[in-house]
Amino acid sequence: MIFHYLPKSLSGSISTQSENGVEEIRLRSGQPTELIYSDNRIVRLPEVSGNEIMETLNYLCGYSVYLLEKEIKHGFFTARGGHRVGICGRTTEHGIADISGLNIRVAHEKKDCARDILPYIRDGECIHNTLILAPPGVGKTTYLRDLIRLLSFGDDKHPGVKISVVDERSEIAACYRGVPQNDLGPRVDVLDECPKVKGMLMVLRSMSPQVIAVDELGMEEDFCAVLQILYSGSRILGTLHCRDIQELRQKPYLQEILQGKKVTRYVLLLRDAEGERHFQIYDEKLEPICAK
Amino acid sequence: MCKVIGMAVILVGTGGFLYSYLSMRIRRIDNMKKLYGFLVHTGFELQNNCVDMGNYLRDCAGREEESPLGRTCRDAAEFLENFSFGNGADAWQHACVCNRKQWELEPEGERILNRFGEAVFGRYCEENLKKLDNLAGDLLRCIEEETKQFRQKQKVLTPVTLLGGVLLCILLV
Repeated sequence: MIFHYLPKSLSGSISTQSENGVEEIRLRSGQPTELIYSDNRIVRLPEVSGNEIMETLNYLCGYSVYLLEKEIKHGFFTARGGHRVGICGRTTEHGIADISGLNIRVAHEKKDCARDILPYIRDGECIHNTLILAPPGVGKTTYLRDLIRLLSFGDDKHPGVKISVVDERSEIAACYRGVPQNDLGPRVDVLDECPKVKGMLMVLRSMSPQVIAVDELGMEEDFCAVLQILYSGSRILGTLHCRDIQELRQKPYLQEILQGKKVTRYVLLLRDAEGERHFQIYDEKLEPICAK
Repeated sequence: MCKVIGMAVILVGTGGFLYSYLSMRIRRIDNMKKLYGFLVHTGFELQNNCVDMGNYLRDCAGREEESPLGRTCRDAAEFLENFSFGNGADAWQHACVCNRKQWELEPEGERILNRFGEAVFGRYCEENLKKLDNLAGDLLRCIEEETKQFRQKQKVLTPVTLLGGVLLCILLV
């Protein structure tokens, strides 16, 4: 239903296009609108004016743009449906004054993409402390989201797990006004737009989580917080930018975690030339357990 | 007998006219007071609860039901839900136009009612609150003016209309 948010002036052109496979919609003032599909196809629609961009913004914000004042100041927000909207225009010290462009990243969940990984990270009724590694754009967040969902639902042999999600950039749950737009399952508590370090410690103290899920670990303070969780009884399920296991060994802030061997599963995601995803799983000694 | 019936008809007619006119003025004042309460409540909700305007208007429509305010909120909420207009202020204005007759407002009151849309659908919360505040102030002055005029008109119109009725009776009957 993403086309529903586009200006009325494009309704004629849109009616001939399919919503399936749309990954991005780019609106730029005075330029043709672009629909970018997952197969790298780009469809160009008639150009839009500044007023039509504001019209789209109104639709995306439910006509309550003032509610997203803080987010718009940072240059992006999450619309109803979980779509991430990037904003461009003339900036002032107070934020973006004249909005001249919108980049709508269409939300789509890939349910069950992580199902094959799940058996390797299970540890009794819970999971191993797990880090998902991949270069940018491979799908760490997508796999993390699916793992959260699968763990939350559980299955015939394993009960659902209580998971707290610290979603600093609203990419995992894609909350709209505090309500997750992505399906994370029934046993998930989401702390939306909260800094990772603060959020991890907050949920640890207040939500009694079995698992704490967090995206894009990278700074030293992130790993300090992770260490606190590793020694707290809750399990960590996080993601990390990393091309391969060699690069992982060289990450400066990970040394204490690697040496402590508290993280017992590393899931390395890779993408081949055809765009297919594969994974390799390593144990706490960084020895491969499986590859698919 | 006919004279008596004729006189009764004239007197009832003049009384009816007076009642209808004064009732209209009373309704107008009531509507303006209701609108004032609505403006104040909206400002409070915006400031303290960061309310979503579509949901807020729908809730107001449910509370106010068949009053002019309720109908206007309901229409506006429907326009917003269906993306009928490119901006919220236009949606509100169109809802006001559709329900103009029910409000029975003077031009100044109508102006304030129409400008509610500009006050709540702006980009910045602080600006919206200030505009709402100004509108509420303007409306309060309108209510005071209308109430003053109503009392003056009531004092003059009641005896004049009744006398007029009696004169008509004397002349015609």
